[in-house]
Amino acid sequence: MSGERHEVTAPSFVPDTALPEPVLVERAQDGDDSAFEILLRRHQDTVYRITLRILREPGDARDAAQEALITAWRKLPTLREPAGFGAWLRRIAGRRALNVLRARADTDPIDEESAPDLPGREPDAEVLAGDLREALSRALSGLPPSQRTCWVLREMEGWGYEEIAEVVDATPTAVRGRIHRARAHLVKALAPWR
Amino acid sequence: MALEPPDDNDDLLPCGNGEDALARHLMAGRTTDHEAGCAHCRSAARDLEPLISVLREPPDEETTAPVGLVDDVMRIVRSERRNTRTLTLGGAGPGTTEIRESAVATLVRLSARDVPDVLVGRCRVRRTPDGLVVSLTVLVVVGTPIVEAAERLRRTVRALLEERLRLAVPRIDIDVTGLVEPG
Repeated sequence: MSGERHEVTAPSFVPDTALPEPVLVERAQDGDDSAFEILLRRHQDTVYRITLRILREPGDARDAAQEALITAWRKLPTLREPAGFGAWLRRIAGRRALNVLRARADTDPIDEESAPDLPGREPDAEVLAGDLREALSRALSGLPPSQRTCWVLREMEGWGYEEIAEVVDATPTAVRGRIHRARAHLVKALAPWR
Repeated sequence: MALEPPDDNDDLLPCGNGEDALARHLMAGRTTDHEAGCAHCRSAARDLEPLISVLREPPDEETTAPVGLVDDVMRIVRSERRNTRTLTLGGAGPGTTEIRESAVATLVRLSARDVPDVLVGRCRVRRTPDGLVVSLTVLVVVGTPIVEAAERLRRTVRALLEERLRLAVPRIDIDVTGLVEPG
C-alpha cells in the first residue's frame, strides 16, 4: 500500500508497514503472517548481525538467523509483552548462535573449560601492520562458546549482564566471570599490538 | 596477566576500580579522574588498548541481512499456518460455505481501517449458541475520546460481520492495550 494512496483516500488510514510494533506483534500472534513478515524485515539486519558477530562465518550466520526467525514464529504465542518483541528476538538469535558454536565445539577439539592460547610465536612486522580486527577474530575463535558469546554480546552489542545471562542460561555473576576471562584471553592475544 | 583477581564474583583491579567499568569508560573515551591518575588503572588501560581501539573502530559498512533471508523464513512460516479453524456460514445451498477464522480476523481489521484513530491488534472470534463473540485489542491515538472510538469500532465491525457474513454478533469485547502518538 503506497503512501500516496494513504493521503488521498483516508487521512486516518495507516499502511501496514507503518503500524506501531505492538500492533504488528499482536497480529502476528494471531497468526497473521504478513504482519510477521513486516516485523522480520524491520529486525532481520540486527538478528543477522548478532549471529554473524558470534559465529564469524556468513554461511553459518545466515543459517542461524533463519532458524532464529522460524523459532520466533513458533514461540510467538508465548510472548507476553508485545512491546518487548525486539529484545526477545535478539535473545533468540543469541541463543541460536551459541548453540551452533557449541555444536562446532563438539566436533572441534576445543575444551570449554580451558581455552587454548594462540600459538605463542612473535608476529612479524607484516602481521603487526596487518588488520587488528583480523587478529581479534582469530583470538575470538580460540574462546569457548559461552565465553565468546558473553563477550560479543557485552562488548560488541552492548547488552546488560541480565540479558546475556538469559541467553547463556547462567547467572549474571557467572556471565561477568566469563566476560572477564574472555577479555583476559583477548588482551593477551592482542598484546603484540600494544 | 595484569588484570586480577580472576574471581567470578569480583573482577576488581587492585585499586578497587572495576575492570568492566574501566573498559566501559575507555570505550566511551571518558575516563574518571581516578582512572587517569591510578597506576593500576593506567596499566590495565594499556593492556586493553588494542582491544578497545578495535572495538571503537567504526565498521566498514553496516551489516545487512543476506538477500532472501526473510523470503526463506516466510515460506516455512506460511507452510505452518497455525489457525485453520473454520466457521460455517448460512445460505440456501445445496453445499456448505465455510470461512477460516483467520480470514474473518483479516476482514475485521480491514473494516477497522475506516474507523479513525484506532488500530486493531489481536482479533479472536468464538462461536457461541447466540452467535459470534469477537475480542479485539486496540491501540488508540492519544487525545481520542476512547469510549466513542470504541463504539464506532464496535458498530463498524458488527455491521461488517452481520452484512457480509450474515453472522449474528451478540458481543464485541474491546481491550484498549495502549495509546499511540498521532501520525
